[in-house]
Amino acid sequence: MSSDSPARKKLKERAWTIFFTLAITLVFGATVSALHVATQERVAQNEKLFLQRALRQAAGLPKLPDAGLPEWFANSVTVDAGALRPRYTVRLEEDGKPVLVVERSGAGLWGTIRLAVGIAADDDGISKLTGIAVLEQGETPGLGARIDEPWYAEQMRGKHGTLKRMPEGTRSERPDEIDGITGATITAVAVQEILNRVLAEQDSADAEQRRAD
Amino acid sequence: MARSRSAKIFRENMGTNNPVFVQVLGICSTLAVTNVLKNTVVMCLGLVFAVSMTSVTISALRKGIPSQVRMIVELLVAACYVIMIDIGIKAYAPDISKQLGPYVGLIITNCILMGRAEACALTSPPWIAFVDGISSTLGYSYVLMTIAVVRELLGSGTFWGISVMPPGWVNWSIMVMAPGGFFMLAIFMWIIKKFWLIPAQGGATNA
Amino acid sequence: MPDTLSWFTVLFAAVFTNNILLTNYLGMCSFLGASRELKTATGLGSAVIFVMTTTSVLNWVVYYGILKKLGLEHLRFIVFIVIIAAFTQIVEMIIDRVSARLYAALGIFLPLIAVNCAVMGASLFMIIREYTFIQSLAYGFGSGVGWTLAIMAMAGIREKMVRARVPQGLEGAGIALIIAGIMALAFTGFNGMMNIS
Repeated sequence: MSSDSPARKKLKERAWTIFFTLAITLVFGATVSALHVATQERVAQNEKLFLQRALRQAAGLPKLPDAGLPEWFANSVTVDAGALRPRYTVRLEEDGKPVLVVERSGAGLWGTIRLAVGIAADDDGISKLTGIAVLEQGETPGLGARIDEPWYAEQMRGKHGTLKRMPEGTRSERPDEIDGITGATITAVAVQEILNRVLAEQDSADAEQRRAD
Repeated sequence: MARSRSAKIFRENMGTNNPVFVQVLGICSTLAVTNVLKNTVVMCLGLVFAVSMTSVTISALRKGIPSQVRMIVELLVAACYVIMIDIGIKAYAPDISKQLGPYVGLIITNCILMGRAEACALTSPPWIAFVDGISSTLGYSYVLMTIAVVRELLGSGTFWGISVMPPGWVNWSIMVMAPGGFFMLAIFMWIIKKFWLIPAQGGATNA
Repeated sequence: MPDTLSWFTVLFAAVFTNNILLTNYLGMCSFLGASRELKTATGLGSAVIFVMTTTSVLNWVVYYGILKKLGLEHLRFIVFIVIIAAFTQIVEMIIDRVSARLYAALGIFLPLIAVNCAVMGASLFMIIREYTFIQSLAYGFGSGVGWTLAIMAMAGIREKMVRARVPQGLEGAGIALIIAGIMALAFTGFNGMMNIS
């Protein structure tokens, strides 16, 4: 054994290299896959809760503890199965009025920004925003990622028309002015454009509805 | 003997052989995540786990690793531990997972991980490798957290997400952006070197 | 969104407005280490461009062609890094055979390309941003070029700085980081040049 010819030694070395690499890959790959499978359900559940929380926020409803979300979702939310992009109708508990929540995406600075946008017709018949929730974004932490912050989403309530961006902190009373984020212009513009698209579509849908009536 | 050797490694990795300001490793993440303190802490915890576990594993396997695939094996092991971190965060802290995005995956390419695996784990017994891994990443962590506190405070006026600056404070947006990260790290290195490392070495200049 | 981005926009953004080194901070270690001489920087940069472009494309094919079909997306870190490491090794062997001088000049930096966070980062970002094949190609190439531009600029500046008096404590990495910071400042001027929508 100790007097192996050089060729045989090289073969043994090669064989060991291949065997070792394969073995390591299998062992570690299997461990990771096992972990993945073990947590899959939990991850899926987290995703569901995340969406339900977002729907509530977009509909302008106050926060609900996670335990109550699935029940609320089952009772008050109808999913529009046939739509191209996800659409949900949320029934408000107090008055049964429907709030339409749509998912809409746009190009941000780093990647896609996906929002849940809530729209409902006010007493005067105009469709206004009830709120927004950020479903997906990959913007700069501390800058563009601030669209996640509560104040940013809350300011959208009641806004309608063609939205214009004001400097951060303005908090205009006008329904067509929203605050941007200092240092995150591209991200703020992206969100503004998504919202304007949703509002415009709803306005034309409303106009058609009125013509039909 | 082992006790004092591990103690020496621990001390050095925290100070005179600090991965960030002496070895200049792991800079990418130092700059990328330090604009928000919370993300920094999660990143540091993740790195402590990944580096120590990888070092221990590589050390345990060191007699069997063929030299041609040395780097691939190191990367493979590191990747697996990082995936575990990724899965863990996704399952148990989903909001943080959404914020950290690709930076969790980049722990694999963090030069500290490879650097310690090559420099220490391949030639040391598991306990030494473990101490080396933990101390390197702890040394990395305190640097990052210091920078993060300053950057978040000056750049967003918050500490761990809570507004602490007096009203009327205008955020130094540059602190949250790329240049702020570069400058803060440079300043940190400058202060540490000028007031600690160089005097400790008797005033010799260190390039 | 991604389908409406022309490959040229992706390329331009990767080189200037979203420079992988100056905006996303990836690839710093070899950046700080290899940027003292313009010649080394250029050689390393070319190798990085080649590795980045090819691995981005390879990883795209493997991700969408194999991993996704089998539901194994969670293994993408392992698969990507192994592809990158294996490919870098192949490039090393090719360079060694083709030009021993270049191989000697690049020395330790070649295997380090495998752990260059920029290379892995480019692959990860392209998956997150859901780029198409052509966009990935443009993005990989653009990121490589952007990185190389940054490292060449840095090397040029540092070559000139050899005679400058740097404050004690800032020598080496410190001053390099400040230079990088000023460069990053300059590059933020490119923001908004291209309307990516």
